[in-house]
Amino acid sequence: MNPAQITKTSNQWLIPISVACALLGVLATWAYKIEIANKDSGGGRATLATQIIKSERQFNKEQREEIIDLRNKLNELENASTSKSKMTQVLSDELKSIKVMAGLVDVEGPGITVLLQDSPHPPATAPELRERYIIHDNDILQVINELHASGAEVIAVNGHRATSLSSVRCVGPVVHFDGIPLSSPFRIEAIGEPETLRSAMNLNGGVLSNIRQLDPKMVDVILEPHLKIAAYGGTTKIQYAKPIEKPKQ
Amino acid sequence: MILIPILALILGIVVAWWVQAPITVNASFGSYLSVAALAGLDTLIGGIRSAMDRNFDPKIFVSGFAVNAITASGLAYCGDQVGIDLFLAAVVVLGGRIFTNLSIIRRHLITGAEMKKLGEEAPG
Repeated sequence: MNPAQITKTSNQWLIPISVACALLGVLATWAYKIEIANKDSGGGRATLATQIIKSERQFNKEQREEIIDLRNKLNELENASTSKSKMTQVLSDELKSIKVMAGLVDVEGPGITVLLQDSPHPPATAPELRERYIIHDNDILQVINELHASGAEVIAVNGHRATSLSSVRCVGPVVHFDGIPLSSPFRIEAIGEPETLRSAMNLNGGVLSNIRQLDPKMVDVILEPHLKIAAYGGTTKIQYAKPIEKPKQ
Repeated sequence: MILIPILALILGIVVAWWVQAPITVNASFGSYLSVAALAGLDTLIGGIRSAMDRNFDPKIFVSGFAVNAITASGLAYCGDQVGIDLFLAAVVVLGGRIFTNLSIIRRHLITGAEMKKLGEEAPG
């Protein structure tokens, strides 16, 4: 090998490779900078969303507290105005039973608790089969419907009172009950004649028998001699429906 | 002499650090640039390998650098338009070639060092 040959080949590759190195440095650095900028902006958006959720939650909490506060004041005023005469006494009793129906007061009484939970050991089969081993909004709806049909007077799902306006809906991995996200296990409490309610739940071919067939652990029905159910905590604003006044005769 | 390409690389990084990218920041543009950089790296290592094989041709090197970078980022762009991750094709091929060329360079360096060692030991 003679030295001249080495220098010649060296010179030949030196400049293109050096230029390529410089270009590569520029490209890689720009790619890096753009990637960093993208990550930053993405993170910023997520942080903003978290802040919004937090402040909305706080707002919701305050509003709920205000609702409870105002309702208590209303109760006090009503109690103050009663005990005046027989007439107001009757009205007050009527109001009480209507309030129980509307879900505006805490109630207690005998009943049952229905526990629904996703199967703890779903079989490792196809995903569409595994779907059946979790509790869906439809199961909760059917249980509530069956309880109402069997004479349940007051129902609550995970402590949230069911009213005549309640809704149950599947939203992604959770079930929204009146817009409140709930997840398994679901605890459905019902006040009514306990034995009737229990036999309705254990009916052969009834709403729970399908789930029981898959996995008995997903369902539990408990007799409750003494249940306490809290009042409905949501808003009660009625905007469109107006009562029809009967014409005087 | 081997310092010059390394200095050039550092120079490129420093310049790019101070100079803003010519196109405004865009989520997908960054990935095209990354693929282009990978193509550049592949050509660069291919060039070093051919220099060691003593058949380095500046024309092939320069055209390879440009065409590879443009094709790789163009493939990534087209893939984005039709919803296929076509840039993966570029990444797999270029990545594989980088390793192949690196292994050849490694062999050259190791055998070269051993020959040099033998040569030095012989007179002593």
